[in-house]
Amino acid sequence: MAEYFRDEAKQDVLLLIDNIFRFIQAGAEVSGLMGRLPSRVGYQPTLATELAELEERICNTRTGSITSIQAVYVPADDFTDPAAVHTFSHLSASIVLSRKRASQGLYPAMDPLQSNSKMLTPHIIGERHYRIAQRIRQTLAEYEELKDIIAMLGMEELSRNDQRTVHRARRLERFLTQPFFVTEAFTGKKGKMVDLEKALTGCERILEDEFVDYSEDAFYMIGNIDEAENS
Amino acid sequence: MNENKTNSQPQPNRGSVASVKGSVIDVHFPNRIPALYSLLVTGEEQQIHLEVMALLSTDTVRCIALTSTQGLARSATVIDTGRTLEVPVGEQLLGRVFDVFGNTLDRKGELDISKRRSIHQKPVPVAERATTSEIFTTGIKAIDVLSPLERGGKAGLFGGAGVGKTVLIMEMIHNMVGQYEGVSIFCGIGERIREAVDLYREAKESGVLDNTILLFGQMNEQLAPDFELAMLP
Repeated sequence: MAEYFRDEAKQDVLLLIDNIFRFIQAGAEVSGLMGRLPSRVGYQPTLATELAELEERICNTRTGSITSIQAVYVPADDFTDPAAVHTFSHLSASIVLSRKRASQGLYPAMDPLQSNSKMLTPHIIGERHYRIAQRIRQTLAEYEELKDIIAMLGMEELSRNDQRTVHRARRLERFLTQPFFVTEAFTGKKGKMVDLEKALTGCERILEDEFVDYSEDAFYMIGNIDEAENS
Repeated sequence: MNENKTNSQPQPNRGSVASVKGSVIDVHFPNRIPALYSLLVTGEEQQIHLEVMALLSTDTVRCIALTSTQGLARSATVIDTGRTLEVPVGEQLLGRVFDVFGNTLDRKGELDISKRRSIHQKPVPVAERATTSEIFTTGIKAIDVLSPLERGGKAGLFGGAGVGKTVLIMEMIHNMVGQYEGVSIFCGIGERIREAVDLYREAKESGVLDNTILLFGQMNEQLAPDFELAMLP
């Protein structure tokens, strides 16, 4: 169906697969039924071929593109599992959703330090975007390291510089949440769609400490940065 | 070859079940064996579908059953359809819900579609591929800034149950449909039936259903590998 829309209707297709691990699992089942010897970790010997046959059909042509977003189940959180490893090699971006962030109410519950993308290079996304993304990661990573000290000694024991990092990180974390259209009925908040440019500007201004006087709540579940200013 | 073709037109190639081991069926074809990935039908009402997975000898093939094999007995007649598993394609599919055979699941009546494509296709040759390094903006801040998606690329979404995976996917459908006027195809395999119903309702309520095709293979079905391929043609 996706190939038809790409090749004949010449449209762009968004293909959402939930869950690619089931494909591998089913392949393993069939392989076992057919009497093939299992390979590493009990998977089918043809795992790489089967997955490649599927993934290689998801590609761009001159007439249209297929962009796919695939949910991947990682067995027992083991990222060295053959199923996960082979899936990884086909992906150009991976978004890791973490339970911890979901429980903190930070939706989308994306883990910014574990998620990555091959597009995150200066010559594709531009120097500015790259610099901002790196600074966000750096700030959040530093905050992560400081969390232990904060838990034991409290915020006051941090150096001024570190305190500023924590402030920045907490505002960034909240700014990166967003109300969704599809959850309007549950949250009672109107969904927001944010331009990349505006999102970047918002992050940049937080990184430049423009909002030290604002409360953290002002950044939670908003769209553009202007909403924090108006609140 | 030609001789075979003319023979098979009026009289379909018939075989008989040689053995049944769960969903692995061996079929004996005395005249000529069907090609790999051919779709065979059997059962009293031709309701059992088999797919040829291996050619064992000059007259026997090994198949995987795509439907339940309950009631199937040895020496039952099997008919070679002469084609592979196919799914319907076309604009009429938008807004509908399907299973792997291209049957509708939403009780809005059958579709009148003459156009079908095999689920087994060759990948696009290298020369035909386009290599752009364009960003695919989702309108979701966290993703666009920190993990930008590639247009025409593949992105993985890792997460357990209840962390908002489905919500994130629904939001992406919503945003893309508004932005690109493209088509979204959602493919849920091995999902709980409840989740499929939820998704359908959500899509309907948020108004994204008209540009979406939903494909489901539930946990109680056993044909996931073909199922995933079904979304591609």
